[in-house]
Amino acid sequence: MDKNSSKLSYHIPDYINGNINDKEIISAIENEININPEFKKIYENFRNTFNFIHSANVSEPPDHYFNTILPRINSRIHTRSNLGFSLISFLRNIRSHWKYLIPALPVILILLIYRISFYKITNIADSSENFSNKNTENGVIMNKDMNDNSHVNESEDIVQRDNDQLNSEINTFNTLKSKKVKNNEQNKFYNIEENIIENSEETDFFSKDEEELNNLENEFLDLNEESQIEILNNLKNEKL
Amino acid sequence: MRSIILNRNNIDINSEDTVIIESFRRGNEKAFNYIVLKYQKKIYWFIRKMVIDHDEADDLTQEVFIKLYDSIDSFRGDSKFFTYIYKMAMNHSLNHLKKRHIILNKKGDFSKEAYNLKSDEKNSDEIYDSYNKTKNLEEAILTLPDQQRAVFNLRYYENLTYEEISNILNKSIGGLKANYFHAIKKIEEHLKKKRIFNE
Repeated sequence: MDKNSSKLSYHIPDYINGNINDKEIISAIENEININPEFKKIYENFRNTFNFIHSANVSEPPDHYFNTILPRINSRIHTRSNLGFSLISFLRNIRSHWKYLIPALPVILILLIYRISFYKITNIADSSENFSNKNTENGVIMNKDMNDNSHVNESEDIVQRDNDQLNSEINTFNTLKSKKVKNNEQNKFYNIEENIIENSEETDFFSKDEEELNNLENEFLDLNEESQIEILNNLKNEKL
Repeated sequence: MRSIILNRNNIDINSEDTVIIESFRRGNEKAFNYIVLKYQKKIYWFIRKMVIDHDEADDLTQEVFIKLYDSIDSFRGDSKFFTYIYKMAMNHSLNHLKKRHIILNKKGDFSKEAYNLKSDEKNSDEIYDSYNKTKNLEEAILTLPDQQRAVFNLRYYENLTYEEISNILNKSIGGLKANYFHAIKKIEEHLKKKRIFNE
């Protein structure tokens, strides 16, 4: 197919669908169809293709679908607005300030970098000062090169100290507990012993009384008869 | 002052696009609703022909209108509003197509549903035939490169002139005619491959 026929073939789709108003083009196409079999074949294939496209019904969306689009769009817009998610509206608000913001941006960046670096230097200085103070308190002279590790060492020390304290507390507790157990056992022993002593004291007391009574009885028997009768009368009067 | 406000709000769906847009720019939210109601079908169908799948088309349609809501200030009135919104829909569809790989087997599911829903008065052979035609056409459209697909949809389904398509796609009219020709050629080849046509 020559160049002219090829250019003309680009009009075939519009010719088939009746979208060409230019009569010269229409007659040129019709002429080409009559004299050029290759061109005619293209035309016939295109016509079949368009027939197929016309006949293929496009699947419709569900009924009432178009009634639901607007509420859903509005819902999405309002949900987004409520969440304060509208970056575009934010950009729209600051749009008028771009001419001031753009020149100011490098200055802000420099200040930010300066601020960050100053903050880092201050932090390092503070941490090294803290570390040297602690070392002085403990009477230990540390090398300056170790200052960077001060935080790590310090926290390790704290953990070690905590562990030691905890261990000592546990030991104290165990000791107290064992003492308490021993005390209890001793107490039990003392109680038994006390009971025995108490019992023995009571026995002595009775044995003492018996001797005294025997002595008194002997003294009574050694007295003459009148004295015995007098004592007995006195006792009788006193109602003992 | 009051008459200005009344005039500003005194619009309906049949008002000129520029009047509706101006009203929306001045804060009349109802005006945006008119824009949606006026263009929702056109935009949906255009996107639907681009992506084929109904659910994706539905989502993209909503996104286009939300984008329009956000960027209405960027419409300066240099071109017609419908060119502006079509351009937005086309770019959005093309970006979407670039992001995802289309699984052809998945396509046509909705079509089947739609035909099942409307099948009461037809016999099963007709339904099957009609469903197959639609499915084959959708598959054929999916084989088209993005640019050709856009031109085919805008020219055949939307019936836009080459000048209007040229404004949307920023392409020469000669190039658009060539794109349209090759799009039909590719559809034909796909149908031949499917043995719907003879060689």
